[in-house]
Amino acid sequence: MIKTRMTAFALAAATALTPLAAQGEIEWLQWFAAENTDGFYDELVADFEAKHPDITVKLVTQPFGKVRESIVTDSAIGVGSDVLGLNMPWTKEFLDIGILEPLDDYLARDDNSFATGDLVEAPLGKIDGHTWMVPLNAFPFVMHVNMGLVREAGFDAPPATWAELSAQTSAISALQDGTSGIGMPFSSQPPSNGPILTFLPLLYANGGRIMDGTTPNFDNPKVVETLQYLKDMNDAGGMAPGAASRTGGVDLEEFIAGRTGFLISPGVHSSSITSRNPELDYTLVRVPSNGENAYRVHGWEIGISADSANKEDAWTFVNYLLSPEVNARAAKAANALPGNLKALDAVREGADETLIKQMDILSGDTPVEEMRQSPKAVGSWSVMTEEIQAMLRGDQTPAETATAVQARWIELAK
Amino acid sequence: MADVATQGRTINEDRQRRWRQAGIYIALTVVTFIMVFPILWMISVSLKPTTETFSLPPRLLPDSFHWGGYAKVLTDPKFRTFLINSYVVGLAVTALSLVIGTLAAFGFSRYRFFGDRVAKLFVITTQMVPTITLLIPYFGVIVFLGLYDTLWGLILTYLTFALPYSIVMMNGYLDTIPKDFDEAATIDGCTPLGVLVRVLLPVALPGIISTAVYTFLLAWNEFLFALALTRSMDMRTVPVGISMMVGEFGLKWDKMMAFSVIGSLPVLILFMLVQRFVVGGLSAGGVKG
Repeated sequence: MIKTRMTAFALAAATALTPLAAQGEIEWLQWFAAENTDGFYDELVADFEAKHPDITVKLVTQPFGKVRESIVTDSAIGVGSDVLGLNMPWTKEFLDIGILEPLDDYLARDDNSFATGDLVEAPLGKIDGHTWMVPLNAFPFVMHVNMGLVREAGFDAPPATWAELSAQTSAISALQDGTSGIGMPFSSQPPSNGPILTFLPLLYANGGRIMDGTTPNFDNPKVVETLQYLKDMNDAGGMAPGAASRTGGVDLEEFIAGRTGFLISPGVHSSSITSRNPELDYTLVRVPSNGENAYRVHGWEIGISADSANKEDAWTFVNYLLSPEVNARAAKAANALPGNLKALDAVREGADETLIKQMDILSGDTPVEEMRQSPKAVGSWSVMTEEIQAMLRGDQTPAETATAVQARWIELAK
Repeated sequence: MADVATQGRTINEDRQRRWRQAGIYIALTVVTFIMVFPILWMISVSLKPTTETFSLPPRLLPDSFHWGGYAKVLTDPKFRTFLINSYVVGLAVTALSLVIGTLAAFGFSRYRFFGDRVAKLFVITTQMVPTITLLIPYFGVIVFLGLYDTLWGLILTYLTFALPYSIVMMNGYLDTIPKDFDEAATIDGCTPLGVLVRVLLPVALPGIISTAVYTFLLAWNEFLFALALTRSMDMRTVPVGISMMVGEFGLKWDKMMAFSVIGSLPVLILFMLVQRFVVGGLSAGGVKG
């Protein structure tokens, strides 16, 4: 009896002491303001508050590497933010613990500042019968090219096909010590996301997929063919040495320093590349194709917390972010494509050359995003990384690699 | 003949001793270089333009000194806030843990009471729990107390980490001071608190300083709890501020290293000033007088 009373007292005290958001106050947890967007999001929030004097927005910025854990922990403790910056691969995990609010009813409203049909499609696809997030902006994966090395290796144009990429990577690696054709980041260091940075874009350009709906489908012929392509490129010396210890960050730095010919990564990296090494003879192209012009689409998404006490205000803010005018500003600030395609023209105006090139290259290609519906997406990257490392070491064949990843991923998802 | 043999032995021993000394110096130089190199590299990168950060072959000295990283950090009010917060938290934790820790250590050192051994053992045991396992419980407690996203939340948390060390450290140090001092002071009319403040603390100054330095370092460098227990930019500390420069799409090397240098300076200066006391204080508690 005493124990029960103590528990009740503790719960009551906790409720009384926990800072609850007042009506009209919302929090936006994201990492966008910590990227190369100095001050932009503070101004955006100020602009929103000026237009909606009854709502205040607290901008909560976390480093990207900690946002996923923060969302889970904050939610568990009961201090979750109202509006959440999201990364598509986290979706399934967040749904499993009930963090996200379904957005279908909000999207169906007539007074929204945007039409749902104008939004980038990838994040909108229904999971468990609902839409859970909307795109703030999109970062298509492209291939960054060091044209200086391409020309030095005897080629006039960047590679457009797998065969051309193989030939050029080997030729660039043969130029001099310390120069490599392409970097492949297969480090086990968390988040171990090398396979989704480089392997998946190549797979999609080969017409392959790793999911069958919401079920892992890694051991299929297209995957094996793409793994074989990586292995052959590595055996031919086209790949930078030490793939098993390279991270995406190292790959980017090596490319900026002019030591690799190619880098497969989101187009947004173009601003880092051109600003940090203006001397580089640089261009970007679509990821070389082996049958399909498809690109992996990545982006910054937004959702609403299921526990939010101010969902209406939260949606008012999301609605503001997706209006063509605001969305164009957000895209330009991040050197990205807008989540609302109605904002494309506004983004094109005054955009730098690399952004315009991305828009031109990708206008007719197929966007692909599979991580959103994949079970244990983040865990599956580690599995892929470890098995691809074993393949590049010569411990297993591409077919064995595909089978091993499939088996371990299914086990992980149980 | 015997003299010649003795002389030969002496020369051999002298030679061996010199070789040993040379070996020790070489080993110390190598170890010092390994310890100091990351700091030198941090300073080097902070002074390089970003195009030179990953140049090959790597160069410690940049072609030209680039102060842009420092300029960006020093002119950004956010970073000033991070520094001020770290100072406030570090100094508050140091002061509180010294006062509370010294009083507790005085009790353990000078009085026998029921359960004192168990209490002392409990204090030591708290040091053995990996802090990561405490993150969620602390998070819950801090939210419960209404201290989430406040500097007081951080101060309270760090105090719980620092106090056991302060108590153990000060207890060890006070134990080395003969109880005759207390008795003499008591006869002269000192209260127990007077004995502590007027007699024991001046003698225990090296112990106090080394405890203070350790506590300040703990609070200054801590990252995990600072990240979890705060969310506003106004409440962030230096380590979290540095981590904010590691973005999804790259790192701001010059800014990050410039801020790391600025963030390391207070600790380096503090340590250089009181190094003598720290070394003395750390070893003194190990031997009973």
